[in-house]
Amino acid sequence: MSAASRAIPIDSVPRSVWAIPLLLGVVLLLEVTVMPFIGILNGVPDLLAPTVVAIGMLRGPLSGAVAGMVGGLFIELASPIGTLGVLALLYLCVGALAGRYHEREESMGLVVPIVFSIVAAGAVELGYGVVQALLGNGLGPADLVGQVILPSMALTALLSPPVLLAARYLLVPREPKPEASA
Amino acid sequence: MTTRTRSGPFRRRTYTRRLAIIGLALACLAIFTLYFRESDSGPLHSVQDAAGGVVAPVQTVAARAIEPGQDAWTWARDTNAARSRAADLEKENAMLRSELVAARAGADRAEATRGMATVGTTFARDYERVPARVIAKSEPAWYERGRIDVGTSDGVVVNSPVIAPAEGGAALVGVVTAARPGSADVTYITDPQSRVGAIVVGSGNHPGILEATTSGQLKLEGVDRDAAVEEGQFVVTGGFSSLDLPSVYPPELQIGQVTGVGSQETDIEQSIQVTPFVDTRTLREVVALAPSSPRALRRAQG
Repeated sequence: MSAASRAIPIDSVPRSVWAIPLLLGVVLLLEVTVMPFIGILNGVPDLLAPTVVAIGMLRGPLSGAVAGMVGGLFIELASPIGTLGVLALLYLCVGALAGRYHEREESMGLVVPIVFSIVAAGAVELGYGVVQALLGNGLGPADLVGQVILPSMALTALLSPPVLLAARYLLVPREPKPEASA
Repeated sequence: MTTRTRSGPFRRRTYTRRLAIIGLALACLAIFTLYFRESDSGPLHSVQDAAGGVVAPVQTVAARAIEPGQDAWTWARDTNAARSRAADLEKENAMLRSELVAARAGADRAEATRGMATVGTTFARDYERVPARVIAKSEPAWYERGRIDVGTSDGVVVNSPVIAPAEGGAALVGVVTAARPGSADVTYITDPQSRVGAIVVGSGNHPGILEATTSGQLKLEGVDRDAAVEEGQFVVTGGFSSLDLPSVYPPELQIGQVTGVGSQETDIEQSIQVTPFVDTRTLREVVALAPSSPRALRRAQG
């Protein structure tokens, strides 16, 4: 059998196989290249939080947890920071918790995922701040909230809607159009 | 809403899923623990270092792509600051700045390069100057680190000092803490883990250790109460780290300016605040100093 005849048309590849890696790949590239340059105060927009929330809500807690762990690990590997496994664990928790809304009406709207994403971005910063405090790099509570958590949540709120819409476009299978009646 | 029946297969699937998530969480904890228990040359650090090298070319391209946007953002921020400082000059400022912006986009790169020509004149014999661009940054709240687009293939090694153009000439911004063929990671002097042996120019022979504070400023610790330190004096590298050991930084590299001095009657040391000459948060062009003499190589080896 020739290679050409073995080629699989893209339409026949299940959406679940390529949609999550594609979404996660694009978001992670943006997160480690562009996002650190557009922060406000000490906050940086968190694109991974809405992505993991969307994957968790639309594909279930295990998919959300795996996406969160992979995403967190990638950021820690690709950015010049001094931790490994911390962000992976935090985003894993975000994905697993978002997955509890899987197959519920709230997951199909936009308000709950946006609110969840903003809270998740703040929670990740808070969790990372606690770990940094344990490592001796801690900020004061006022600086942590005022300069890190609130700016990150605000920037994430701005960027969550397009990320969530893109995630929904990629992850929710479109229903076939009904045939026109004669 | 979907109705879930608590049948046997459903419960089994739920338990399996929970077990998998718990397993992944434990894996994260294991990675985290191993990472902090191993040395800087351990396997997990090596993997992180290699991954940084793989991503560096993409970060280089991205850093160039967003440069026009950054110019626009810088311009907008500068304009806003000027308005708050001098409302009566607002119109004139806006006109001047709009002209400046048009010229700045093209002139930025050339201007930075011109500044670098004067960099490092006092230690030119010991180091080769390697101009570099900052291609990635750490999250600013916890780390003050960056990645530059030069590495071991350009002669840059671990402990190579990194400087940048400032108003009064070149100023120290950090040191290379990881180097690969095409990129290197720089820990800035404003990073919480950074320590630089420094002296205040004109205060006599009273060395101290420069550390970061949470606000991106620096504090000079260990300077005797007798030292004549005043606001406005310059702070430079001392060429030592502690206990008179040689530092990875060459001596007399300027760092910043004293902006505050204080001490209680019972203190035996002064509390000196230092504002660095270079704002690492907006840093884009730097110069890595590649050791080219045996003395500089000894410094780099610690």
